Amino acid sequence: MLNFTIRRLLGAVPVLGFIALFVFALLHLAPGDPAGIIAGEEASPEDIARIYEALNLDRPLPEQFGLWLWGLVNGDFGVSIYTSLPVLELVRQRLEPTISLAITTIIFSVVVAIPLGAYAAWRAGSLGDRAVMIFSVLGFSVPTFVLGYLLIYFFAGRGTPFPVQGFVSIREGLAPFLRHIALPTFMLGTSYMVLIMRITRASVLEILNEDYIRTARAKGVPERKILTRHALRNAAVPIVTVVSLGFAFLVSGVVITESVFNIPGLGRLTVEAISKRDYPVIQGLILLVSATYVLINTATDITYAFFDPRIRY
Amino acid sequence: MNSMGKGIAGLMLAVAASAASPSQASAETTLYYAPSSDLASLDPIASTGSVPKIHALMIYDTLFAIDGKGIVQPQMVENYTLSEGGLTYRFTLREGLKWHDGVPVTPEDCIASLKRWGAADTSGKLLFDFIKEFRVVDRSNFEFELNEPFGATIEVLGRSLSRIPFIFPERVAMTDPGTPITDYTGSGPFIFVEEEWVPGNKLVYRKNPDYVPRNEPASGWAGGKVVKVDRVVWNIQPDKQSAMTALLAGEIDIWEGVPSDLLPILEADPTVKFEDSTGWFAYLMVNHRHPPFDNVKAREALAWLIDQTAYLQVMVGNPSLYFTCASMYDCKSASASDVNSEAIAGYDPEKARQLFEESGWDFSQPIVILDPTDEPEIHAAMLLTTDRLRSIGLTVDHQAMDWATLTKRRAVTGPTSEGGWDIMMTFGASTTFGDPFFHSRFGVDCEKPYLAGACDKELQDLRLAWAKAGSHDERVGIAGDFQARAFSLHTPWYPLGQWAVPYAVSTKIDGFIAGINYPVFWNIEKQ
Repeated sequence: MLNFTIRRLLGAVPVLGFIALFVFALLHLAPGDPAGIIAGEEASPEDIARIYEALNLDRPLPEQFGLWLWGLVNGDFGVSIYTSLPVLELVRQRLEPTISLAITTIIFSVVVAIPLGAYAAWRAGSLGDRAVMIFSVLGFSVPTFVLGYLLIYFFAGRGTPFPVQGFVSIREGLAPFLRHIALPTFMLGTSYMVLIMRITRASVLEILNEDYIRTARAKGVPERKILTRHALRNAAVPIVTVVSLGFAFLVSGVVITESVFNIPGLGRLTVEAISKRDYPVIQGLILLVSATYVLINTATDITYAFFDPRIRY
Repeated sequence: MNSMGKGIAGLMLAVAASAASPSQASAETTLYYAPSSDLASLDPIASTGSVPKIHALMIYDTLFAIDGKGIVQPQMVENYTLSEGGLTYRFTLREGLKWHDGVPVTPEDCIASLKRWGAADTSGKLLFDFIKEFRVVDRSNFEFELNEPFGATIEVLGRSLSRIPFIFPERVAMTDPGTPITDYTGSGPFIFVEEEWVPGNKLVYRKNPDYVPRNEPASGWAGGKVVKVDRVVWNIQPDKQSAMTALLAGEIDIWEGVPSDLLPILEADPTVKFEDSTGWFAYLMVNHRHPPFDNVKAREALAWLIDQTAYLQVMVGNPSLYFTCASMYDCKSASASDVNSEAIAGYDPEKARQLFEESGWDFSQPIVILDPTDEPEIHAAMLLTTDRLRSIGLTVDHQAMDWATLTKRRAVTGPTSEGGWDIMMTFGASTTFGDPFFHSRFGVDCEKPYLAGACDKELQDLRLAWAKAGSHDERVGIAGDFQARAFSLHTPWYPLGQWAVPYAVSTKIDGFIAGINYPVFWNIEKQ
């Protein structure tokens, strides 16, 4: 297992190197650059040219790439063109809201989805199963931003415990943290929750038709024990895959929720950087997200072995 | 109730208690402001953007400033004198001017700041063409000598709105104008709290306790900048709907850039009031460098295709907010006139088609239109432009892109086959269009052509004549002559009309000063 983990992590190095090259080339070949945006609406061509030069954007691309790569090797991800702040400092500022939102969303989704999905499989075809399925179709179909605005309209603002927007760190108290993150979690978690719910239902349903489940029933094992000890554990591999990949997705893809609730997270940072062509920030973020995916995939593979002892690396 | 149930109940009680109690047991007054967009730069000289100016108005001061009536008044300057012959201006700084680090403001700071501004700003460059030399007289006096009298000197120092001549510490002002500054020490009424800055999300300012305001009442950007709140927090709003709900929930106090479609909801809420802004002035630019718009007939043809009401309807939609204005100048300014504006004010597609034919343009050749789809007003206007051009049989290559791409494309001077362009549109603060001198869009210098490549020596001479003119009436006359010549189709651009974007302000706020392009945060009281 240790060898496998080391091999996977070492294998990630050329992957990240290729991503670095690809992202750099893609960004610099795309039209637009930050000089015109910094210069502003009334800038003259000379103003734009002066800023372009000051930002070293007039240097040959291989030289710019080499400088960036050398910085990476030395742990320097560069400096934002707009704010002159280090990329890692910007990421640090934005990491906590996004990670907090991702964790609360995962907890909310898993806690609600797995019991409901297992129940729906256990009582397949019943009224309860149909209610769960209708809920899952609704959860998938309602666009995230619509759900967000509905939540704000009905549950946030004056006279309610929930603010319309913003983020408060858990270090400032659990209660204000929960007040701020509850609605965004519900907004982001709903579609994710129904996905886990459907995967759980399908997996458990398949397991419940296996011969060894029939054998357990024939031996008189109680239904609750069959569901929790035998069915759920054996159905865990696809569920774990969805949950773990979902975490990486949540870290990198929460921009709509962050925008609706004005949460200063990584998703918004990414979109802002792209729209302003803040090259060092985009490059740094993509590299970090790629590294996160690699790490989570490795962790997921390790988790498989825990749930299914037959899996060995 | 089992232990888990008790835990959940306890958590819910804690959340409810936290919501019911004030968040901070503090007597500090904090004003929350949502700007129209994020800050592209913290340097108001490297950038001509509007939001950097609002930031800079808080933390920096200026030698002169315009008041609510548009008249230039001394600000950091206590008084100034002009020598006989009109060649030497001497400025005396007010007592008590200090940087945020406690160091006194010196004439050296002022001179270095003016030089940085003069190297970047269009009107500043023109003024500097006349400045022979600067001299430091003593610790509170400095002067500059001109080569020849320049009537608009004080106007330029006080009214330059593309880049406002803010005063920086000398060490900061030595930065190349193209390199954004990273030291935000100012001498203005607010101090930028850099450690609380979350780029793209939040900027925090605190009251400058050492700031000595002028004795006059606050008016426009002039007068006494008396700060009546302890902190101002800017909340950057990525989503207009969220900004509206935050204002209604009392989480922000002032919102700039309210979209017209959300106005009815805010108007119905008794906790929100509105303050007028000067609004926007939209204009269409054509590329003078290449066919078809290097031909005066094609430029005239396009003028006959402009229907300001239609443009304003698609851009703004609410007739109570917009008005047509067939002048080169802000229709609320003294320079506004309707001289030679028949084509702009009229709309005659048939005449436009005939003129295009007379220009010799091949209708099968595409006219390239740049459309930044992430700018809703411009996107709507460009769709209308394409439709109007196609309606008279022209071929249009409507190129959709984001604003970042457009800022790169508009600087391409080559023909459309090499990435150039034919038509684009933008808009700016209407008060910057009050005369032919200050806004860089009036630039028609043949040696340094502007983005659209418009070039006319007579117009350029008129700009300089405006700056040298000795009286207001003389300037108004020259502005009329400029429009007469420009609208005889040497025009660098075509006006598309004006509209207002009111500030939505909480009724808890008193003393808000709007009216000159950008809001300021002194004089405001929050209940």
